[in-house]
Amino acid sequence: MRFMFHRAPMGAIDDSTLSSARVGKIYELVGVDAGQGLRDKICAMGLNSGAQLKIILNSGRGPVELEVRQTRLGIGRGMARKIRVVEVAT
Amino acid sequence: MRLSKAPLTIALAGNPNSGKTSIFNHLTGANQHVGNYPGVTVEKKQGRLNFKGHHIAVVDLPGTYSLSAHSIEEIVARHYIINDKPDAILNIVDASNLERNLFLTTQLMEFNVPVIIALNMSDMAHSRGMEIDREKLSRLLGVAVVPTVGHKGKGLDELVQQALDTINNPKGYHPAQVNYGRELEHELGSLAHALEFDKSLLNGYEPRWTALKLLENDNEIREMVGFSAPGQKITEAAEDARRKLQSLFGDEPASIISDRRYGFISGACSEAVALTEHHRHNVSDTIDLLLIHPVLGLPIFGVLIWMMFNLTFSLGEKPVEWIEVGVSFLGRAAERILPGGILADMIVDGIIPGVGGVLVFLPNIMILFFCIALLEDTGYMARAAFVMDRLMHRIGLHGKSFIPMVIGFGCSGPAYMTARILEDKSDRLITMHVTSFMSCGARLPIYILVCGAFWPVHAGNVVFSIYLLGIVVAIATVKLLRASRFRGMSADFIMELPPYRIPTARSLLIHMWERARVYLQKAGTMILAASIIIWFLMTFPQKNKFDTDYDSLINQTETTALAGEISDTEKNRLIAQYEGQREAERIEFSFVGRLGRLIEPAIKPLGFDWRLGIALISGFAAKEVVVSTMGTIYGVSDNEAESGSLRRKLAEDPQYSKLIAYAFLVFVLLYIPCMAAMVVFLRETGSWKEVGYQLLYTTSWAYVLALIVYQGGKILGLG
Repeated sequence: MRFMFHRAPMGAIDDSTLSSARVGKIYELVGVDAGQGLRDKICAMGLNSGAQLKIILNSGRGPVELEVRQTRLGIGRGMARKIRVVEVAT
Repeated sequence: MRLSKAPLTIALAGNPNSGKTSIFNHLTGANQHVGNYPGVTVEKKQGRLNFKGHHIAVVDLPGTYSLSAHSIEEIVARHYIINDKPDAILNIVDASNLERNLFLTTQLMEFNVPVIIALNMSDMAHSRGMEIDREKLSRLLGVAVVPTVGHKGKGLDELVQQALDTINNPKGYHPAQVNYGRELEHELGSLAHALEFDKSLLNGYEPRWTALKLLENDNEIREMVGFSAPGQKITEAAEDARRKLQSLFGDEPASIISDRRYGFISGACSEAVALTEHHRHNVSDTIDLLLIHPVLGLPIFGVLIWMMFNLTFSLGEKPVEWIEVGVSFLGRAAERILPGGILADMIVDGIIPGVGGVLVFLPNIMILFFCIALLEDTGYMARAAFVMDRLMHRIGLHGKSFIPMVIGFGCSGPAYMTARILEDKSDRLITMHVTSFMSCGARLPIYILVCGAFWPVHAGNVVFSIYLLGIVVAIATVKLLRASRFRGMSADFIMELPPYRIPTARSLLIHMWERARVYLQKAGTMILAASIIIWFLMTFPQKNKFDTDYDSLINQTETTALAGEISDTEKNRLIAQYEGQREAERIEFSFVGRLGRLIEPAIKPLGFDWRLGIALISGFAAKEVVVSTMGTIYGVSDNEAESGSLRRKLAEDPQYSKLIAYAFLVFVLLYIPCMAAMVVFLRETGSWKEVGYQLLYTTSWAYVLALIVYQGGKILGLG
């Protein structure tokens, strides 16, 4: 169940932002450091707290590509730095 | 119970990329009408559908992920649902993307309008190993669910039938309500109760929905409710509730509400969806390996855009010629048929060349928008933005800004239209403002003429420097705008990368035709009016007595030719010369000529005389006109203008120098786009103020830089 480790992820290994997330790993979104407008926007695209993200492409520069709720999203570097994630043990 | 034959309205709502547009196209076919929602530039697409004797109006709402008040599209969509109260909402849901798509559904279900879900692309979901139990999903959501395959038109009859059934049986519609949890529900209940007590505060909005929006701190609803004194009490109560919830949950209530919605969706999906296997995006992933490759992605994008650009202008060349021939034939025919007089002059010299000059670009517009539709429908456009974002973001633009800017090298009008692909308003406006500095194709003949006259050997390099200057000015303008009117960074880049799809010819053609129709409408209305005005200014006041008696000069020439004293070619040359001189005198006397004289003091510091002033003014009609106006003013007939005599005249004119020529080129590059482009600019921004800013930016850049070139050059002794 997704809600069991809502906002207090059990499988946390490493606390960081999406910007430094590694390709192929699965992360859980724990928070977004942004105003409500931006938070609502990315939430509507499937990125709310507790969502599981799989990193598809992250070359360290330019946008990050990830998979969330069976959708592929491209996220600009600036925004990726505002999204806090923790790696989920697989 | 409605009368079964009464006209019905059905709205289509859904996420971008959910296949909503192809369902709309299938339902309405060619019976479409594209307009704008009043006061905003969001497109309003409407169509008609005749289904088993029912006349149904179908409205395609803008594609959105949510119904908050953060984007104009979302506001438009929810205003439409609340104020226009359609009889039903067809919610197009991408089945292969169910959870995210249902987020919008949970919000649509909160309105008092029946929702029917079209489980679209259900074939793709199936092939990805998703088994959706539609009966169960329907039961859990309390909403009818119909599987569809939009681009093939499958399931649409059942969908419309289901909508009619639901409309005819309002008692049978019981949408599930998301339970927002005890604390939130408590606050919702008391706010809704207070709102219900004074219905005038609601403006016809649902109490529970309004209360929810107050807890989400939705700007628009807060202002609506808080408008009056009793309403203000409610918004204050909502503020208290928000604070209470915030300290309780340690997060914004809006985020809690979203979490609960996703929780509800996850619950429904875990029961109604079975994942039989997990292999998805296989083909898309393979293509993406190449197309968004960190190194290869950029050159691939460059080649694709270059191909689109080339196709637009090379493939368009022949049809453009046909239209040109048609227009000039029409002009000659009109000249012959119409009795002489002012009206005939207006049609032959004003309307036909004016409207015709715009019509000739129709083939380019159609090819260009066909290519754009192709890039969008295949899913590549999102990747192009992804690839370009790194570069463009550094400048202060969005990844997608690149596309209108490239098209700007062809023609500014369609480039402004392409800026629609940018969702964020300030990104869109900045992109449009700087697209004007991408030197458009119609300015090229001016460069060729002037460079040919003053730099016969290095013309290519000089032209290149002008194009480069345009790009530099565009980047500088972005920086200036980001520091002033549009403070802050470019909108954060977040974009769905939909799986690649093979587009249908039908949808590509419909997209192309939509744009072409908008363009034709424009040519028939505003450009028609503007060409009449410009013709008027160039014709009146009429000069009847000329300084030189050209008629007798021409007669004299003919007599000497008859007598055999001069050859026929010499005769024709002389007559053309006299006619040209007469035309130059006539223009000098007209309003446009006087305007040229009037602005001469203003352009003197740039090294320009009144003749260049007139040429620049006429460029507002169309940049192509500058060369023909110069031909007229310098007394060279149209045919000769191309054959180099105009070039010689310019080069030999003692008034001009290389310095003045370069200042003139700089001015031509940067000053106001043509009238047709400005009409599109107005239509796309919906704001005279933005048009004013556009005139200000372009003219000030042109003036300041031309001034620096000329005066600076003089100081350096280059004059």
